[in-house]
Amino acid sequence: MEDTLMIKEEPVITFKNPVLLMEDLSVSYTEDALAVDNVSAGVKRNSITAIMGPSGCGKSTLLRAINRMHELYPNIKITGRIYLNNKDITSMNPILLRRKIGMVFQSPNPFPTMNIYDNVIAGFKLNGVRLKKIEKDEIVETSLREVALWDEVKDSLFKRGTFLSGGQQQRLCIARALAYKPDVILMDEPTSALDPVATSKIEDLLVKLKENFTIILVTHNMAQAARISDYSMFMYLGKLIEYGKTKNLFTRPVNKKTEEYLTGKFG
Amino acid sequence: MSIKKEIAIEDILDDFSRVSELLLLQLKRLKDVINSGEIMTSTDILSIFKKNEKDIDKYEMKISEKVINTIVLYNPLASDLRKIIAIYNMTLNIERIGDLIINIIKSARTIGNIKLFEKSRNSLYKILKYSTNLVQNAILSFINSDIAAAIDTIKMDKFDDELNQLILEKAVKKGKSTTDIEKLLLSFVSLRSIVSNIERIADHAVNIAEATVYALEGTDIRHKRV
Repeated sequence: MEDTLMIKEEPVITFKNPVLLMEDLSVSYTEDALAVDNVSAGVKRNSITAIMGPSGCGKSTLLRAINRMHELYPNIKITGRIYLNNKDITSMNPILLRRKIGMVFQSPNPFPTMNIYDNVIAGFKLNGVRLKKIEKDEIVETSLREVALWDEVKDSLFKRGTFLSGGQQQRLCIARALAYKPDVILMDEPTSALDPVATSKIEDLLVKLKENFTIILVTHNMAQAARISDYSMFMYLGKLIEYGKTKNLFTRPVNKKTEEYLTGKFG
Repeated sequence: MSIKKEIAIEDILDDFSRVSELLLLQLKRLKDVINSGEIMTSTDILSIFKKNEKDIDKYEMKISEKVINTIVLYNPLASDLRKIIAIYNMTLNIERIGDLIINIIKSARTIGNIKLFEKSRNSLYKILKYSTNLVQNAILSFINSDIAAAIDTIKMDKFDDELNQLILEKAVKKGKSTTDIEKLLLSFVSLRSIVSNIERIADHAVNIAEATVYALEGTDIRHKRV
């Protein structure tokens, strides 16, 4: 039988002009074990990329490496390179980098002492960026509209952020990340603490946001990855095993380990 | 793997094995009744075949429902998903082959000229045996996860048109008077219908083999040259 009949794709997809490029990236917390082991991958602009894998495979470690959150941890060792729009992230000011690469965490974490309005522009305030009132108003309204929260909170902007429901709080946190108009938004299991209705709203939001942003999402929820991501990465024991279009990875994975994970043999 | 998902998939596979056995039994019986000539002489032959055909239809509905439920409830992925989608596809083809068997028997009953049938019997048996082998090979290729066998089955489907021509020529040559020719042509139409149905059995066998390739390799080779 001719080989052309059997489309054997490469296990790791490549892109021209990726917004983010990781080259030979390795991260370790201890001398003897690599949490992320020699990962090389590009992320496509204006897409949603899901990172999946069993617990402890290095997904969150990889995510935190992208915006240099690891520098907040002691004794961490990182080798390799990460480029944002062809610029090495280690050459950038980490504060500026984290504006360009925003992050949303698993548990919604609006600043408890701030109201909704101040939560959205918190990044500017905390970094000493002075804005005119009209600029602040515009950023707040635009960001809240982007996350479909404006109509729900426009009459209570000066109430505490913690006053909102879980799903609303998480959308507020996304709005806070969007306020800086980042190139990339990192999300570490953004809906795992939310109910199904709130989860659905966040998922719809992410699909809408990818028109203007690039989203990288760590998730344990394979169904979620299948529903909303364009591309999926599968990691195992720190290595990037397979990376490709979600629909291909989920229907005909190239690597046996990916197949075993998707069919529930482990994970 | 989720235990419930595993059980659900095994259940579908069991039903598929059973409906496949039923179909192969029908095909074997059809070969026997054509070979023995009983297809023309027995009065209750259609009801015997119809009983199994009803069971095949029931299995088709049962398997379809189980496939849909498994997808909805257990969210199978990768090879699990391809396997049950392939089974769904193959079961539809098995059900159609079942219908074609009934059509063959009904067409045989309308052949007015028994002598004509007798002259064509060997040829009919030959092409039916060929198609039955294709069906059997296709089904076994899936059950045994044998992709090479599936591809061989697809390649084998070069149905012998010469056999069809032979039947036609024999039919026309026998006619002498106009009435004779009319009767022969009517019988020929029935014979031709039988041959067409047998050809379509072979087509469905190829569809089953193509579904096997999809299940095992994730590649859709329908409508492509092999």
